[in-house]
Amino acid sequence: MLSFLVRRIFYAIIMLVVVSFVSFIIITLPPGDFMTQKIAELQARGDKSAELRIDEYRERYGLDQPLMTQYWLWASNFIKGDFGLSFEYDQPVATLLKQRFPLSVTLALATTAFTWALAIPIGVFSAVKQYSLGDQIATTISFLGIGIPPFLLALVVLYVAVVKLDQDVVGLFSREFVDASWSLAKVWDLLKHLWVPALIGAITGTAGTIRIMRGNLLDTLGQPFIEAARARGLKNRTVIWRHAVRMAINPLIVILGTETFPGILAGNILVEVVLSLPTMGPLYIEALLTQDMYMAGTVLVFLVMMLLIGSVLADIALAWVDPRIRLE
Amino acid sequence: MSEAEKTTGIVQEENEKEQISQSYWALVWWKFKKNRTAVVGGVMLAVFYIVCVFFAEFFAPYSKKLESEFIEAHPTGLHWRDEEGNFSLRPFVYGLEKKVDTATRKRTFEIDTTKKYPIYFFVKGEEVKILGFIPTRIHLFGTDPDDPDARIFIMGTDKLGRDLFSRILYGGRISMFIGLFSVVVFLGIGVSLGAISGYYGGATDVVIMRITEFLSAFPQEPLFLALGAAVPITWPSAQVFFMVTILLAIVQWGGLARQVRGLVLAGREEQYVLAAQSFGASDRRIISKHLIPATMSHVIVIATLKIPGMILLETALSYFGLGLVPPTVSWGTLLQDANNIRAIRFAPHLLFTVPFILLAILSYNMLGDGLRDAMDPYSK
Repeated sequence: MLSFLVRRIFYAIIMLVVVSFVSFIIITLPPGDFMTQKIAELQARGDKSAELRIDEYRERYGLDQPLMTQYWLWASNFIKGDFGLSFEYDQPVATLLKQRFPLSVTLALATTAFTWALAIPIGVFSAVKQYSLGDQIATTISFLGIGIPPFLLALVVLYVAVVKLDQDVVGLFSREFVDASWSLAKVWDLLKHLWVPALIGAITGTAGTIRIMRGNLLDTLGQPFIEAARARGLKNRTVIWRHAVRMAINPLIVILGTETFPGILAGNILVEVVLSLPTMGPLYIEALLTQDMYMAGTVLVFLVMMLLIGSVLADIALAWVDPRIRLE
Repeated sequence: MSEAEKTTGIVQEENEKEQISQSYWALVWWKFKKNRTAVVGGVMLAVFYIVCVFFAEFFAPYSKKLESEFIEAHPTGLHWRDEEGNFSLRPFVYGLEKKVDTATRKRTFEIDTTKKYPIYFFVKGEEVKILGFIPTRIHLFGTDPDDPDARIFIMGTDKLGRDLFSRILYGGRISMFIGLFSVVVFLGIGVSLGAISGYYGGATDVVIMRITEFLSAFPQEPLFLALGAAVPITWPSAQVFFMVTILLAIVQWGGLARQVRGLVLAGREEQYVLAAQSFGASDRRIISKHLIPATMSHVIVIATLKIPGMILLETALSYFGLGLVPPTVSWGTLLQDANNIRAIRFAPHLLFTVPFILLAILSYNMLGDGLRDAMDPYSK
């Protein structure tokens, strides 16, 4: 187990290094990024303090150095928690992300919770009552749901809320709480706003998860140990939930870490921009549009990190839930 | 020959006939036909391609560039019954009337029910070139060409007074085409690398598989957005268009390559490959003539189900201003106009693009799902 974990984590770190390097290249690729503009602006001013600033940037980011050195400077600072400067906001990237990253994660957690809370009962119902009217309705809805892209759904929700209901769904806080410090009232206000984007983001995932849950449970229900459980005279509910579902849920745990949670975190970016939430999404898109490279690169690496951490955690969780699995 | 023998002869003959005609693809077609959802999906796609991709010029009442003085006019709708309740078989549209909102100092165009303009079919209008080379003045429908005040904006106009319905059809051309084109590139990369990886194995296999693993370590949408942002904004629109389609394929080919590799790995051990090898066929011939065709049924399904995702990624990219930019008309660039609350409040008809996108995606999913069942015709 331990050697497996060490190997797994070692592999994840190598992957992270390669991915962060490629992210760095992608982000530095386009000409005319924000830093070049900023330096041109400072040069135009031409006074003493401006030149000092240019020298400071040059030294800090290794601008006149080769690409590898630049990457090395960036990466080594990254590990220390210094992600560089957002030239658009003139603030460290870390400061900006500190406010937004937790909210993104909260939203992704809420979306995941919605996905599972909706998909597991519906999937179980569909499998237990296979080919019933309810199953067919669930199948049709999940079939349609897979095709609905969350960001277009967000646009439609925005339209219904703004034009038809005259409601405010933009943002995550009411006006009076935006700058307020954290309190119970603010948390309550957040929850009141959070469910809309969380539900939007959950649609596609729910549809897919229903299909997986239904398929797995159908397979499990046909196995001898279920028959044995029934033969022992256990209640139907116990057989389904304690015996069958516990087995059938294992693949969901794997995709929770490798696909569901990181996928939601990344996929929510588009929804977040449409609904202008104070999360990472709008920051990322804005950074890409203005070529604010350190900001964009940091967000991309953060997302990759979540994906890699998720897959390691998924392996551990699976070993814990399913004792038959030997990690060798 | 006795009577009985004759009958058995005929029966045998019929049996043979049936067996000959039931090729794999005939079976696939047979099973596909029975799946109503899949057929509906296929027909809807055919309509999309005919109306948008091939003959948008004919089906759209105006060209994509024609600017009118009606800015962000609301849809005129189609009517058969007027205010007094008179019914006419020929549908008509109401005229538009300029109004100034005294509170917001904004010009708006409201529907004026006193003016009625009947709709005619096959009217002469703007000269356009179908597919860029067949000139025509005939449009499927429109208002009386001799009446200069008559206009038809069944889905309203955008901020430059251009007819949204026409633009959605033209936008569909680019969006549907991008979906198809990037899938071709996607298949090219995915199938060939997957087949090479599976056939040769060894170091080639390891390298290719490591690359796909590396690609899957990236979250897809953010990676695609970052790549889209890396395309220089100074590039001409045609170049951006090709870059976007290639990027779509580059981000996604990994999964396909893995699947093709698996299939080729299994196919490599088959006796017909051994037979081909003993005849001295080259590797290239074995891969392209024997192994890849064997994976086709699988690949076609993956490709069909991939297209809607490609269309959506392009839409998202252009919607956020990182992909195609006006004057290129695609569903994504059309939605760009509706990317703020003001537009959604005052010109909600700009969202008419959304149902078109959803319908196209749904059609592809229906078709792909049906194909998946049909490609395995021996299963019940």
